[in-house]
Amino acid sequence: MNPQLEELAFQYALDQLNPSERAAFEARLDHDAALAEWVRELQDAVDRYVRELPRHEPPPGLLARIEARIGHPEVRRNPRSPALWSVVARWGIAAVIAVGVGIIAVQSLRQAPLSAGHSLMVVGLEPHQSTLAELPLLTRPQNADARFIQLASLAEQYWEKPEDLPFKMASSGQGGRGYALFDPSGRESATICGSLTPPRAKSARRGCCP
Amino acid sequence: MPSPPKNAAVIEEACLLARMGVGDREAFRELYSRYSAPLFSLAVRMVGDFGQAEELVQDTFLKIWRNAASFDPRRSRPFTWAVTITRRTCIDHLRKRRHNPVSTSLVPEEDLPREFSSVETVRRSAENSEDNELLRGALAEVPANQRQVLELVLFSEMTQSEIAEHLERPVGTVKSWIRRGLLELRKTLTESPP
Repeated sequence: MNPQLEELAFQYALDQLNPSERAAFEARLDHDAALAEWVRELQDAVDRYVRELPRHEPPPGLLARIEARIGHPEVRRNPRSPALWSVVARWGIAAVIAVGVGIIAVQSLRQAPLSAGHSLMVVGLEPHQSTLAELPLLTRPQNADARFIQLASLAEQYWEKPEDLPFKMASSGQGGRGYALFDPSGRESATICGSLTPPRAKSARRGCCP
Repeated sequence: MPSPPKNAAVIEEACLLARMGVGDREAFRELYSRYSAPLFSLAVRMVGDFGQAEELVQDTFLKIWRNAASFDPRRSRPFTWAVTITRRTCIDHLRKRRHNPVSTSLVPEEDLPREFSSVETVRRSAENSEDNELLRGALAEVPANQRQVLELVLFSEMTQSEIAEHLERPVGTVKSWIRRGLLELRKTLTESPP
């Protein structure tokens, strides 16, 4: 490896570059997989160093104090931040987020009558109910990545603008809400949820479904 | 384009950040349960004071919450990203403290546990090769001079030029020790994964 590049990799892994140097180096990382892998290994070494420090548990009340500072509402977006779908789509993960009711709703879709062709199924998720609708589409992306991005960006759009939904949600969104979109022919789904309480009678699954 | 991370925990944690990006508190609590101890330990190591470390970790988690949506999995793993935020938060604090020492409330040095850092304690512990409390696992394989500069570059607010000045060595030598230390650590980790 070019010694100058190698030195930059070390400095990057140790977070020693200034913002402009960092941006230039990151631009290079985007096109050099071997360099990126090398940097990742160095970062892993730093992480391991940190994890091997003598362990101290934080005080028990710290989480509550942080949450108090976060405040309400639970749902908040930074408009200057990249969209959720763009973060996840970079990985090509087929599903974004599945929380509680989302799983139940998607399961219910399996029994729903699915029309062939250019349509998606949309589920509005609320604490104790879900609402199902079919959304006709004018265009259908031709590849899996583009279809997933379409799903996720629509889910995000509904998150931002519930008034765009093809149905009316029953409540004002108190207690959490979410949207699940399902592409019947592509067998892909995207779900965005926040603070939904799973029904007690059902088992809930939380986490990521790559 | 770098390949996506394969480690399941890494993917889970990136998903937690994605959920936090849309305001999911439960995801935040889960990430906190995973990261709070190592990040608090890092802050304690850097500032040498439990109270200040607590404040700094609060600030760190607020930054993580507010910036979760901007996390870019191509650039780093979630833990690396969180460590970077913690270190920057602590370094800002240490630099302010250096310029305004009256405002600090450090415990007396003799009362500090030996593994505590802050600027002086990082120097002291890094220079004391007999301080075996620090020499755990993979770190024990890194030669003392290399470990010393790694400690200083990672856990103090000193720049590499300041480290070189402090050690009365050329900057090039310090950088070389850092490189070799990190390579040694990487090699050890490759041979004995966690």
